[in-house]
Amino acid sequence: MWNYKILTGCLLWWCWTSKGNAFHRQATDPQEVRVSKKIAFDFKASPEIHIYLALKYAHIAVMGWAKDSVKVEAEIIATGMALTEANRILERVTLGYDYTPQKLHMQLEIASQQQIAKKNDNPLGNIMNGLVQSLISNPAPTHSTSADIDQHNLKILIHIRLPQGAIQQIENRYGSLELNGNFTGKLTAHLFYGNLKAEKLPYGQLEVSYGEAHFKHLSKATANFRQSSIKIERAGELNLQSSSTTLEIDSIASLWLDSRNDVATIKRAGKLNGKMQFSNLDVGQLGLESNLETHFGNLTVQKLLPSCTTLDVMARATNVKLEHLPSDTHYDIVVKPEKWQAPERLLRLERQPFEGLKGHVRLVWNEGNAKRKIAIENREGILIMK
Amino acid sequence: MEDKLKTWAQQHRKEMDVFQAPEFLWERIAAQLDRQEKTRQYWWKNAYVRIAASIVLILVSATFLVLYQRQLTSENTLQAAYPELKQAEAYFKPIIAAKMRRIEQIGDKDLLNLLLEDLALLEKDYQTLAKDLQDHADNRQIIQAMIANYRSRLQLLERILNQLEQKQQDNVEL
Repeated sequence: MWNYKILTGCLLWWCWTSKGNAFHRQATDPQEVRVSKKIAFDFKASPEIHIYLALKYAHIAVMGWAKDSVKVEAEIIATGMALTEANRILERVTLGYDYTPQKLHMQLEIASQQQIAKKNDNPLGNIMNGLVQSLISNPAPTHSTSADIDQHNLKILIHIRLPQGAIQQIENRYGSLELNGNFTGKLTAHLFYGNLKAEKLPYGQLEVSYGEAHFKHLSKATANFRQSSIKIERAGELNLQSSSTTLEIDSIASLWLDSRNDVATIKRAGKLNGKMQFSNLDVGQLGLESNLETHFGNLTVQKLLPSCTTLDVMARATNVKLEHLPSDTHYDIVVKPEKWQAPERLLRLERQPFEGLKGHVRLVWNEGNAKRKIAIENREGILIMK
Repeated sequence: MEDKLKTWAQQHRKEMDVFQAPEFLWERIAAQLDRQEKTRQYWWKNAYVRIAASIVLILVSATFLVLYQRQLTSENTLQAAYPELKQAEAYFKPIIAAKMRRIEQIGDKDLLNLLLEDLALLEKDYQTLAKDLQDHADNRQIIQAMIANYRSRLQLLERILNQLEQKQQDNVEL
């Protein structure tokens, strides 16, 4: 009798627990369905082929190779809780392209959900011409109709191999761009909410907003960085306009800067010219010359190398700090005496009132054999020399 | 100086009272007047033209009205669909306006122009985001970016204002 009761109890317990576990699994480990479209093509191309990409949400990897051909592989992957849902997401995304040996055009279009609904009314609407559809996991019930896209349920991966001399014009929003290989052609890139990574660029016209960019070697470029974080390891000539950006440059031969509200660190610069407003600029070593116009913010120059010939700063309400004062230099300083911090011997130098600027004085002196010139006119700002 | 016409009229006043204009003269004048009336037919007085113009006017007005209505609807739909966007706008806009007023008081004209340029760029970014929202793709991220856009405007103004006020304070202390 007791055995029967124990057995029934065990059976009921097993049923209850197994049912509970089943519900739990369904709630926390739902089966996702992934569907994808793949596009692949290649063609013979001119060594200086023009590439135009107008994309969104795409992760683009471009590789330069020593061949006279282009190879493109693209995959659009949609994930949904049901096959219908995944298909609807996939259906909204169209990657168009056309090419000749001289040019390649690719553009991405995302149809609205209403357009898809209308298209679905048409029995021909579901046909995806020229595309391979692959069902990766098991099919699930087709009850969901949502086609909202987000970064978790849509991935667009594009891999392009190009001749190294290709001239590229790439626009991508909410995605990323990575360039590898020894390119010799010009790159025009416009990234909005997207990251850019490049190994070696001979000539670039770059626009990065709300993203991160990393360049290993940038020979010559015109760049506009906004609200971004930029790291350049080595650069030749850079014409830079930037705002609200964190900029880190390890080494640059020549930089023309128009900076606003940036935080910039340059470890070593040859020529450094331009203007900045409300920016903090920290220069580690200055190799050749610098002419800067600053408005508010902070400027620090840690060291002038022996090769440096000129440091000319016109500062307005900027805190300027000049460390490791070099010898063999002609100094010409305009400052408010109460805002000047310097070694005692300099504070004892003869001062002349500076005409046209009330409360400011001018100090001119030589240290050793004057091979270089340091001229700083700091209106209203603090000047620290040590 | 003597008025020649007046003098001539005074000298020939009597002749004017005596001589009559020839009959054919009035006929010629009347004939010319008829011809001018016939040739001067204004196209805009044509009834068909008037009807066509009215239709065009109504169509143009209706188009503008519909477009305006659509724009309003889309803005309202956007805010209705994403209440957090409305909340962010309600929160940030007055603060941004107040900071801007403060900077106007203590900053100079050049500085204001630069600041307005930067704010215009941020506004342009906002419009791009709003446009991309119509893709219904990754809207959560875009909405977050739109809210962050307001935050960036505020941070920009706060940073500038802090430096301006710091400078002002330094000058007072010294």
